[in-house]
Amino acid sequence: MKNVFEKGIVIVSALLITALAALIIIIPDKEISQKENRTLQQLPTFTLEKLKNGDLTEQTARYLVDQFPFRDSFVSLKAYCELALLKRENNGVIYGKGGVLIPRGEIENERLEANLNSISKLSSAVDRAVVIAPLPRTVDVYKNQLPKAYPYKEEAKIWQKLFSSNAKALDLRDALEVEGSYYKTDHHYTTKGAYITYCALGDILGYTPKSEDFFKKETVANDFCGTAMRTSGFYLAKKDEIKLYRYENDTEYTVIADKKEISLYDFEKLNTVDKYAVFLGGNHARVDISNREQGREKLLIIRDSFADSIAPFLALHYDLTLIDLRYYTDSVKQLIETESIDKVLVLQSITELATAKNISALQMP
Amino acid sequence: MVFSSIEFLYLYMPITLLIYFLIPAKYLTLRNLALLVLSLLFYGWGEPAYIFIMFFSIAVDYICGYLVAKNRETNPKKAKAAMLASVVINLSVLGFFKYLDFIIENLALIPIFSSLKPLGIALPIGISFYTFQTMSYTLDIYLGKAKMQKNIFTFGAYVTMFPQLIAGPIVRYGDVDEQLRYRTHSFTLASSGVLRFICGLAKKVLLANTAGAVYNSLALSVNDNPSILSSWLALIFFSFQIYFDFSGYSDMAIGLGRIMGFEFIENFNYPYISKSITEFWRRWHISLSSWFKEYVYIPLGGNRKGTSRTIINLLVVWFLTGFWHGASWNFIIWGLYFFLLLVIEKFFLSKILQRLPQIVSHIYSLMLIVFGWYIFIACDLSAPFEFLKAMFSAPVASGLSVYELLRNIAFIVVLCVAATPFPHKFYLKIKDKPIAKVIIFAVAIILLLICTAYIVDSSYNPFLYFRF
Repeated sequence: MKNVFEKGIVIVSALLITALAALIIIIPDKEISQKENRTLQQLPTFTLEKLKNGDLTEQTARYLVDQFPFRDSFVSLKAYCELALLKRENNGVIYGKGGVLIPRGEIENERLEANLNSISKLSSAVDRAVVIAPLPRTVDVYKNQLPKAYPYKEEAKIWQKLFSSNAKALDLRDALEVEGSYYKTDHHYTTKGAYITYCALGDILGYTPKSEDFFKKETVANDFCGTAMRTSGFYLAKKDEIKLYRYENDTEYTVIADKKEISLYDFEKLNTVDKYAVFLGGNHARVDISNREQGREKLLIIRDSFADSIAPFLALHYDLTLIDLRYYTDSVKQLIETESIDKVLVLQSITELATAKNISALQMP
Repeated sequence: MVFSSIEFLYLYMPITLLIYFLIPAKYLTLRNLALLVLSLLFYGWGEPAYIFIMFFSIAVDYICGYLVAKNRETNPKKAKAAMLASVVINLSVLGFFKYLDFIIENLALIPIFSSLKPLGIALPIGISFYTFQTMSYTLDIYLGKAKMQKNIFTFGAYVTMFPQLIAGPIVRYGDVDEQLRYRTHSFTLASSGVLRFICGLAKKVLLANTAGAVYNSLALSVNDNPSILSSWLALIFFSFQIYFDFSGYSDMAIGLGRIMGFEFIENFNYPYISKSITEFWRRWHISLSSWFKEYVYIPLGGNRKGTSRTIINLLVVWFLTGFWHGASWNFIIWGLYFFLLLVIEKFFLSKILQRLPQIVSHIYSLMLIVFGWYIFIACDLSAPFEFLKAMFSAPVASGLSVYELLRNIAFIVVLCVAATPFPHKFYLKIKDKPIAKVIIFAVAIILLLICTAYIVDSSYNPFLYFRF
């Protein structure tokens, strides 16, 4: 009997390791991981050069991890082990009350100041008011879902800092602190949140927002696993619905993204993992949205992905140009002058505003 | 390559053990040769060029050992010269790779040497461990504790043996001399090796790495929101991280050794249950302390030459112990800090400690050990002096430190229990009961899978803006 146990341990653990190792090879290699939104390492080729500089071993190591069998299940297993140890979070994502997944914010105070400074320099250079609409984080709107003793006060300091500066910034926190304004598995606001923001922007930009019944709500997905779910591995949490606020003629805009014609909604993206990309098809350096009407005011939006789902609302009132400073490399000042832009709106999450390195590009002459 | 990686667990280890066990047990020399070749592969995985240091190390000590063995009886002077040659060469290799830049940087502070520039040589992984280990071969022959190894491949296997190559235990040649010539392989030994390995892997992956993550986030937060709780909690998590990391590694080495028929010495013996600093150093990194004791402290005369000489000998040993941990001033200070504590204990405090209630001497030891880790990490901190200030001045707690404490309460309990001998005692008590065997079996396999999950996840880096 004793020997059975001893042999058993040796043989079963050896078989388990061999089986998983064999599966790395047997299962066909995947090229990209949609869940993580990145390309996966392929079987590295052998060269003497790569052996010498250590690339070969590094690529082999990455290959084995990237192509590891049941990768997502292992990631999830880890997530729930952490939860079982009452750690309340995994990979920087909090498992909030009611299964809301809340990414912990990362903020750099010095960066925020520098970025606000760049924005005000642009404002004086083009002699137009630049409205800043910093969007709250999930942490800011789902405060009641945070675990006990969560140091929200320390994280909220960033807002005090923002509003104590001279920047013309809109405080959207109270308006957005309502149930359903943010996804529960993703860091973005929902279309409802975008609508609330659209209403709040009316005063400051000078338009009368359409009332809610102007729009026809359409649920296009009910199995959205957002970035918070994918980074944390909490796959058993409740998935999100994506609703669109449709209206008549919303398919008739001319939408040009990086010289290609697209439309406000890219329904193909609903078949991929990153379903939020249904709005304008995801990230582009520049998007122009206009309709056939002549003489509408022109609004420039310095965007991050939050701008994509509010664009259909704002398109009702303006011809829109959205630029993303991570990819747009020309001078913004010149763009404003050549396109005779009337109003400028910085519409980004507070996280982006306080961490992005490219906002200094606004100072380009 | 580190043990807690997919490439080790699911590529190197299965292939290596397969090759090793395909060679019939009666050809032990051939198994040793396979171990040598495969260990070189293991070592060259990260930095192929450094294999040549291995060849050099093997050749030097093989020759020196040979000369010592040949001349020991007939010509002691020659034997001594060969022994010294080995020591000088090994320490030169270590000095070149590990300490040269430190020396240059400090010399450059003196005006006449100010033009000196550090060379920026990358430290070969594990060099501090294997130079000490290799030196012990020649030293043991010189001291008459081991016979010379005629077969250079078998000797090479000893020098390069992958289980303890990069993080110890520092196996002295005298301890494995017999096993290299003759050892048995059995399911009994292998199964205890497998369990030990999984236990070490779990310590490293589930405890050390996760404690390290908490330490990092807390240590970082001390910059913006300094507080007594955050700085001490950071240090406590570091204490757990370094212990479970290091002892987990030793467990894995010992486990792998057993699978291949070796029995290495224990390296840790629950150091955090110590009731004095003296006891701590008998329980912490045993193979290093005993190396210094055997080859430095005792040859210098130990405690047999009067009080002042004993203190000087201790000073030498603890200066070296500190410096061994890294080429930086804070490690030297760390070594001298323990020298001071040990001398104080040796000459009067230990008598007092014995009379105190256990809990008091326990708290005394832990506070000093944890503070010692502050010195140990000081050079890695972005603002070491602010950190020190935070440890002893208000505010008492920051929001983050309270949150981290609360969400890690269960984890801290696990860490504390795992640092005591109770789990092992419990295991010894139940292990022969049939039902317990099934449970141990299941727990081992589940732990292996959970460790795999943690390792796979650590590479899980969502990149949101890909292909740009």
